[in-house]
Amino acid sequence: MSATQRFDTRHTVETPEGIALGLATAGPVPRALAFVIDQLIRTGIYMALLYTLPLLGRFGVGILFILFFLTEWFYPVFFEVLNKGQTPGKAAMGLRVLNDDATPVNWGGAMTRNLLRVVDFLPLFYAFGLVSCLLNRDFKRLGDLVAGTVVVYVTKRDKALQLPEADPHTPPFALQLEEQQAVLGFAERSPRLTRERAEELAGLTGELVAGSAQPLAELQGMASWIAGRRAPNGRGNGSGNGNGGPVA
Amino acid sequence: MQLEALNIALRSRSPWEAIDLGFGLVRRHARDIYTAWFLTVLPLFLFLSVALQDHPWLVPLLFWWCKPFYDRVVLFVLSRAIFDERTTARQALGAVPGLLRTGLLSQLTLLRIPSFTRSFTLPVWQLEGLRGRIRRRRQGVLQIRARPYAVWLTLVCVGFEFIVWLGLYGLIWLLLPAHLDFDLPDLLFRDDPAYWVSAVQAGMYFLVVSLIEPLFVAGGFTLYLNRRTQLEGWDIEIVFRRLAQRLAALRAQAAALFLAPLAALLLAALLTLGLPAPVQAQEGQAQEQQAEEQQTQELPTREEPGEEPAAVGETVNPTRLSADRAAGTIEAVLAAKDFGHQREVLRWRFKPREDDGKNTREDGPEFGEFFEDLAELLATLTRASLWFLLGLAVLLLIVYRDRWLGLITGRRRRQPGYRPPDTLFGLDLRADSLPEDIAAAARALWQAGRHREAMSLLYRGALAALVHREGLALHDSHTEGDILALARQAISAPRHQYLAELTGVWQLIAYAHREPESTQSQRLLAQWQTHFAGDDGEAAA
Repeated sequence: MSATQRFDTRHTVETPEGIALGLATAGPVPRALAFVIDQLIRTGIYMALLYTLPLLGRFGVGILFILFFLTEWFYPVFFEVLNKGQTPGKAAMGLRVLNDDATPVNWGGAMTRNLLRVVDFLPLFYAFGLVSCLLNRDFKRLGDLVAGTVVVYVTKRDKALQLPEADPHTPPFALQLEEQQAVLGFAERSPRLTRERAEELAGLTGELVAGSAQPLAELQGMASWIAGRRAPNGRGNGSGNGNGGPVA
Repeated sequence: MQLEALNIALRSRSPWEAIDLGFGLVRRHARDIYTAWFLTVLPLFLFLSVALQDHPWLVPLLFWWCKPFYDRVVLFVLSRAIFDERTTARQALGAVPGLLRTGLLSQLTLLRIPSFTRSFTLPVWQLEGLRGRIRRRRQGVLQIRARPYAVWLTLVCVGFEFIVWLGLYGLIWLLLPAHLDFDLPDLLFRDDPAYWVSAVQAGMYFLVVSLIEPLFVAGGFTLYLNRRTQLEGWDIEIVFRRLAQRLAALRAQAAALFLAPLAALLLAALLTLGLPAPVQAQEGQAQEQQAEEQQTQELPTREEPGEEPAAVGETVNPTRLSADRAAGTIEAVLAAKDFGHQREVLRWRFKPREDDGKNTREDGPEFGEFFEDLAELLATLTRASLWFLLGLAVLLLIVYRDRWLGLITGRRRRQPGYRPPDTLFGLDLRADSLPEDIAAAARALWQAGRHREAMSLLYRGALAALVHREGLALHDSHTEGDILALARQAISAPRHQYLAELTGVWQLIAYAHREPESTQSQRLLAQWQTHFAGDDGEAAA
């Protein structure tokens, strides 16, 4: 009953050191929006150039064309290599370009995938790119296929745990890692669940809360203990010493 | 609902990831979805086309209007697919009457236009079966955080429809033979287009909807699933259920052992250590007892109020420092010279000019001329530097010609410092170790009955030719199979075929001691000359 057999968009890359990295590949919807943002920014740049540079006469116009060329072709390359795989649009959507093996994308990869935009653009407005994106397991457009790159979601740093106040309480059984995480996740999310659902979920743990009148509070107390909090005195078995939860 | 039976990984995803999951589901279950789609939607489209023959422009419009119906077909298939249930053609057709009673009427009339979250709320109509005020309240709860994403999904899918639609036009336009003299814009944008043009356009719109609508529905559906996973803790429920099963099994096991006191002690020991059970269970009896002793020693200290909490229930290291002493040590370390020393840096800087404003005002009248001169100067400089860059680029191209010429000709570049190996799996490859006429020598060996040596010589000769003449970068580490794969790009197909056959024969005779059939060996002996013998051979190939 492992989770890996179930369908997911995330896939795993194993490093030579034997570390499994989970890559959450990003699909066409956020990527299209990222593209739109980038396109707006580029349009802004073009407008700014168009209104200022011609003031410099023919020299300005010459420079204008050069800058047009550079912006059109190298705007994504530049950002993807120098800004951790993120153009401003991708950064806004929380996306990032990586190589297939989860290493940062380099000049060659970024150039290849962006030069091949021409192919993805065919026949009009990236229709080939879209279809390729839909058919590929990792949502790759043709440029990604050739360059061996992939667009993934940036993993957000975990925020500090926000556990509800509860007296730390030692779980009556040793819990495995996944179970400890589930208990923590439950306690963290329990204020947002409906009361009935939270009670129901807590009751589902069976033996863990067996014989307790208040499984919800019991489980929150265990989460508090797992998170490293300890009662200031006594064993703090959740029998209400009234001080609220101490913070370790 | 049986969450355990769910075939998609449950975790709390970002809404975008949830949408992606839906897109992935469509790809995964495309066959079922499109079976149902073409059985139900295509007939409707054909019916519309025939019924509205006199007003062909109405066909795409009405087809678009009926989208809520197609959504239900797709959702029906998807809602089964996530539980790993296939949907056959018969089942899809049989479900249609039921689907018509899922609020379709109101969604096709009053609610058709103002819904930007149609695919997201569809499961509430169709799967939860809610109506009226309850439905609206339920939708309100679900939409609290997900609504913007559902709206974006709708907008982006509209965009995708346009892209695919324009893409189809572009494809037709690209593929039109130039000499046909086909005035596409005139055909499309005439006031009264020919009937067949309208029909083709309607057909294209059908294709567009067929591609995008399932994605739209699936994206909304997984967004809905994700929202419920968050609201109801589905991912937690799965782990909790498994946890309960495990604990129940554990309890049953302990009872079955009939060694209740020992088991209780053991459990208590495990708990104090707070480590995963399996690891503990594997450890020896002695350690368990040790742990018990440790626990009995520690427990009293826990009970005592006012005692330093350092050792209380700590699982990491009983000898670690108390917070106060640790703080003292850290401060002592930080106070050392290596940390936090200061350094003075002196540096020249320009003073701000005080007469800046005055100067520019004096230059005022000549500003235009000065500006033009500046532009001229800049232009000259830029032109010069661009020519310089061009020259530099050409120079670099010449200097590094080896690198990119290899890309064009397809010949593999040898790594710098590469030296061909003298031997490969025991076969001597040095040129002077081989006879002048390899084929003749091999034939002589064969006739003398030394078959193994004959084949060995042929194979050695071929390898030597690959290394020395074709410039194939072979290494000691390569196997026969590696060489065959490498050679595929370097030599022509018939030569490669010959090499493959020779390799096979050589492997059989060398490792399995199995003689080749005489016709095959004769053929190999005869053809070696044409494929691997010197310049003549290469010219022939």
